[in-house]
Amino acid sequence: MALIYDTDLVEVLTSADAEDLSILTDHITDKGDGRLSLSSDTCKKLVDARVAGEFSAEIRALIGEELQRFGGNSLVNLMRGGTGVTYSEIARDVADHVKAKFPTKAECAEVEMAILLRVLEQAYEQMTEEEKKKLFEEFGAFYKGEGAGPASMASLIAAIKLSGFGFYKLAAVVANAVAKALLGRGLGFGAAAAMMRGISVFAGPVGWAITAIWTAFDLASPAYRVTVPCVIQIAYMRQKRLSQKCSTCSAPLQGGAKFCAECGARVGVPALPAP
Amino acid sequence: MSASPYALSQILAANLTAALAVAGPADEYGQPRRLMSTQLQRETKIARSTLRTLKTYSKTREVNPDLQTLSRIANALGIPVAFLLLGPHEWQALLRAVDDIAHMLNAADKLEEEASLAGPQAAVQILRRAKVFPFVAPSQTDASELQQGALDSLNESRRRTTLVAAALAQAAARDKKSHKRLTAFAASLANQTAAL
Repeated sequence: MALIYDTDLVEVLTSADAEDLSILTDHITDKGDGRLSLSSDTCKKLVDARVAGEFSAEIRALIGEELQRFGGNSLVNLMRGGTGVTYSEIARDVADHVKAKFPTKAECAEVEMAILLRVLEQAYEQMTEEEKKKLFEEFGAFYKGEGAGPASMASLIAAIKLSGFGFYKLAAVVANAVAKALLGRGLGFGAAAAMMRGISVFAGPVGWAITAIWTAFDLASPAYRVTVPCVIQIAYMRQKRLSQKCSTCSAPLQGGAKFCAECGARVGVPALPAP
Repeated sequence: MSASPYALSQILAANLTAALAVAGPADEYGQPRRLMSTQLQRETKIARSTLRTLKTYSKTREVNPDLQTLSRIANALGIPVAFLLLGPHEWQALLRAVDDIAHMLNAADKLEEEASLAGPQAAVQILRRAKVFPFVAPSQTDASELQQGALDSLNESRRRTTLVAAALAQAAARDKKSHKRLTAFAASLANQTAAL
């Protein structure tokens, strides 16, 4: 059986649901049209899985492998004997290019968040006053108006960090817009649909930020057309996974789990109030 | 994007200083040594005062050496004249273009199977095949007149840069194979240069 060896990818890809993997597959295969550095055999396997809506362990491993290979292309794979690079390297490379700020020893999720915040920052500059106001409201913050200048973005970031589902929602805003901009379809939010109802209004400005990103940050190489959207989609999938916790013991839940592996509580049933 | 005359004099000054620091004869341990301006003057017949002016960047003084002066200096240093005027951005763009060359050659191969690679237009086709051109508006989004205008002008500038780079590179082709490689390299370089 194929295995995913990259520790930063294994849990995200293994527990991901078909809908999210379908978006990831479309980013890799360019909606099934294929890419020059993607073999037609691999492309067919990925597209078949997407059409069937079934992603076996082998296909999940293949997605990870292809992503690492594309990352290798943008990080001069030839020097490394043609093997892929780790996902962490790919994410850090994208973060460096978009000038996202993150600590040297940051975990992968932290690097991904820095990228998303940077994309949001780019999009923010293109938003109308009304969109900015809505964006603040989404994250439970108050927009003080145009006069607040750069401080308003800082207060928005603070609100995102403070909010319980802030990172998940931020990842959803950006990944949804990127999927819409590049693939022509957004994410399906399943159980979180109600929470994500308002976020599609930001698809325009975030979409334009992504369009501009290829020229603004030395990301002109063809491999970045794959790695940038994939890192954003994986960031969303990671946050989605992290947001799924057992309502009884708060242990992280495996994707699609009906019961908590830690305490055995049924997923989706609220915890009983303390007596 | 072209450098302003002042930026270009700064680049020339920095390049000359860096080059002269290592262009002299090796010392007794084989280590690089400075090329003294007296020696450069002997080799190029360019006055030391002129060399000093070229080596020293000043915001208030525009340096404008003629082609012959640059050519003599480049000859004495054993480098193409173009190297004297390449700045850090151009070196980085060259490096990224080299990184992408396998991808662009792959695109050129695919194109060659279907059509001829004749003419500079082939480089634009390579960028299309590599899916890095043209830039398109996000799907399902209404582009404002301003946004569409910016996109159109970006695409037009990328198209022209690519055609010009290909026209220059293809002129150096000796045979069909080198024509293809030069066209792919021009496409790769234009893709990176336009991002400067």
